[in-house]
Amino acid sequence: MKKLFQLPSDIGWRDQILGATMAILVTAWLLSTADAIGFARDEGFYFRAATQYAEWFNLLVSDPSRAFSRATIDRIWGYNHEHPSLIKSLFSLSWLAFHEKWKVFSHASDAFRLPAMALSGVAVWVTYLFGARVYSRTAGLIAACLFLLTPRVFYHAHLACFDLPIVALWTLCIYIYWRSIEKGGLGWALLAGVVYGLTLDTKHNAWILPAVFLPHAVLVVHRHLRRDWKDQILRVPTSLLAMAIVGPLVFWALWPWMWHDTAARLREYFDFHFNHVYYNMEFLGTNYFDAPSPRAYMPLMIAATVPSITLLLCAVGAGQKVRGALGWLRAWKQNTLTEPERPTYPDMLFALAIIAAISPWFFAKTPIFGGTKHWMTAYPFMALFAAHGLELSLRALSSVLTRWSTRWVAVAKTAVVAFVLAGPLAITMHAHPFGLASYMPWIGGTKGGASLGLNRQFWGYTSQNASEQFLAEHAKQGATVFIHDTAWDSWARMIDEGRIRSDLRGVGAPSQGDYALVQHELHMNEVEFQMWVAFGTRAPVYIVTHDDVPIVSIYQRP
Amino acid sequence: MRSQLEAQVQPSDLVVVSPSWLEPLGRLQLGDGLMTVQRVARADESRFPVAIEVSLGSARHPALASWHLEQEQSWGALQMRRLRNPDPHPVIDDLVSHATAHQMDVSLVRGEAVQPCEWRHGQPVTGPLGFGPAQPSDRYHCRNTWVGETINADLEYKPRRCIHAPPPGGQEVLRLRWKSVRFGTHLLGHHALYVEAERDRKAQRYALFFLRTTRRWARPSTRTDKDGVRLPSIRPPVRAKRRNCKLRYRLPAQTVEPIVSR
Repeated sequence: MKKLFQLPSDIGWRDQILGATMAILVTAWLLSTADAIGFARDEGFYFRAATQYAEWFNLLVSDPSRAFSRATIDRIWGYNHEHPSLIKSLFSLSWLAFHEKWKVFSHASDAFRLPAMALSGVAVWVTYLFGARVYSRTAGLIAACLFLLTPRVFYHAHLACFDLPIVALWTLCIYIYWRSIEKGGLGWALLAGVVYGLTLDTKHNAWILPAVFLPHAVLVVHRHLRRDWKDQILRVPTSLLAMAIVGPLVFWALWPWMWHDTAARLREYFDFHFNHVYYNMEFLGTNYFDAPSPRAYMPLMIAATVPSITLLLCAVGAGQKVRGALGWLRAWKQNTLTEPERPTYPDMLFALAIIAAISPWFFAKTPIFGGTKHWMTAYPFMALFAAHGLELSLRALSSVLTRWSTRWVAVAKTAVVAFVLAGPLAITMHAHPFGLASYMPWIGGTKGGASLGLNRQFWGYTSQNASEQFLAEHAKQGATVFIHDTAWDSWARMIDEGRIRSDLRGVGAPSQGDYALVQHELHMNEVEFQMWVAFGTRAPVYIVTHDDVPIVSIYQRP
Repeated sequence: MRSQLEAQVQPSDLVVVSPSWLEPLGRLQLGDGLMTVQRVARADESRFPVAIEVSLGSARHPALASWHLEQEQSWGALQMRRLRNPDPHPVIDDLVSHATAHQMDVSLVRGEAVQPCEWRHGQPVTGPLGFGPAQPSDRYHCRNTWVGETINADLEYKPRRCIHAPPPGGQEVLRLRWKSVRFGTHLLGHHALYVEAERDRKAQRYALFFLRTTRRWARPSTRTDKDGVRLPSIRPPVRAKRRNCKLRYRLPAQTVEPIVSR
């Protein structure tokens, strides 16, 4: 029995169990904290999509021929067809299974949100495995923790949206590709192809992944290039071929909308994302609503929203790898290259994963309205470098504490790890449920972010907080409320689930409401000014704050 | 703090809260009596001889940087500063305050034809993001548009109390005529477009004139510089979308009647 729990040096099934346990714990944690976060704007659309797609899944069982007819597909899958179907299908199936059939959740939202939460757990699991295989189990554990303990990751992990699912699938896809290179064989290659298809069917970030795989594959085969050139051989990793062939097939097969009129619909899909509307986003006190986007946005927002200790350790870990890479380059130039320690170059893969994830924001044409969520795919890999950086630091600590006994050195190392994790944990917990308003202490926290003119929220998810803190107690029976940026489907579900008092009625204009909410974003000021005219007052009756910074103001008709 | 401020603040004083994100809490705590629309949605700070600045820590309102500090007081984390304007421009009369049925006429003019706009009392009309400035309950109805006092969001999303007077388009001219205005030495004004009209370049080219009332409107000479002062034509900047195209102008005092035409 004791042997069962002893971890061998090789990473194996026990690590999978450990990773799975972490994934389950993360999912449970997210489920237990989800009630505090109101339904974001996009969740409302995906709730509707999932409910609609459920009709198709039911038809698939009861009347398959009708389910596959173009008329049925167009009617059901036409809604929200600008995004692929996989994650919305999971929301739908989760709702059918855990809310409608087995009644595991009393609230539909928990069932809708479960797949994204579980995939957040998968992201943690895969990050652990990657870290454990490339560095050490400790590094894997630390990387998994540092990734999750980022306030905006923690916020988005709760939502029935695609942002954490794409992080999970992006990381898993890179992991499977790397394993296929390490292990070889058709099975791994096919798996890489399938997972890439699932990633494509999650979010359009997946189309950037070739920018990770192709340079890495060249690096892996580079020592054979000269000979292959002579022998007229093109050595291509099987997994790349599988991803190129199987991936698009899986993408197509799992998205019924694409089954008919495929070319035109694909074109429409790409057109939508290549020419996406620019929504408003405040940055350094300016409201950006069109190209050119500020190039400083991504680096500053990463620095301002990812725990500084994570970034510092990432710099340590990545810095050491850069030094190694420079040495490699020198050796390559001098033709003195020796067999590398890891011929699959995992560090380079991590670096490419980060660069590919963030590089669109170096272009002024890329919109910035998503805040940090659109490049969160870089974060597991930054956490992996950070974990490596911490390991290097601990090694350095050991070399300093030579006079200490092994036991006390272990205590010191444990304390360092605890301190490293304590900061991100504290800041992540403190930010909840206002993760989007959270900024790191060097910025001055939420107040500092507001003073710098950085965005505090989007998607209007804070109506629930306005209700909890004021409307529930003070609004008269049947009062009307201008719900501002909250989507109608989100508002309706919050009413259905008792998050907002059921007698309150949402309205679409401030002057129609007994109460009017304004979710503070710079460009939303104009709606607040309307309230001043409509209600004849500049004074809200209540303000929801986070760290004393206004998040939602509530106006009352005099 | 509120009662102390109420005792200290004169009607002509400006009251501001710094940093700007704290202002909603300032309005909540200080109330409409101190945070009047004239203060909160001011066109600029020049008319105020004194400003009372309530600030958190070291935050300062940028427009008051050159004002002279007269008094400073602390309330916990908050500070109250009394600042004196080094170059005040007191306002004798405010045209926006005259935008009422008794003090202003509004009409659409096409050549000799003058169509008066009707003053109505109704409900305010508002909408979601992108709706534009709220329509106040009391306003002039001019066929398919309206004229009245409202609060406009300028290109920096700052509130500006103003008269909403959109150009009617075509050959038509929108005419606002004030009946009784006290004059000082200059007419000082600002105008701006609604933020989305300006930033998205939705507005059409238009011209704004101020004319002396002693001349008949239809006479061509009223459009000359001799009889009135023609302001520069304004259109949203073609490329500089984030540049504020708000204008501030200073005119001889005899000019009283702004005309907005396409």
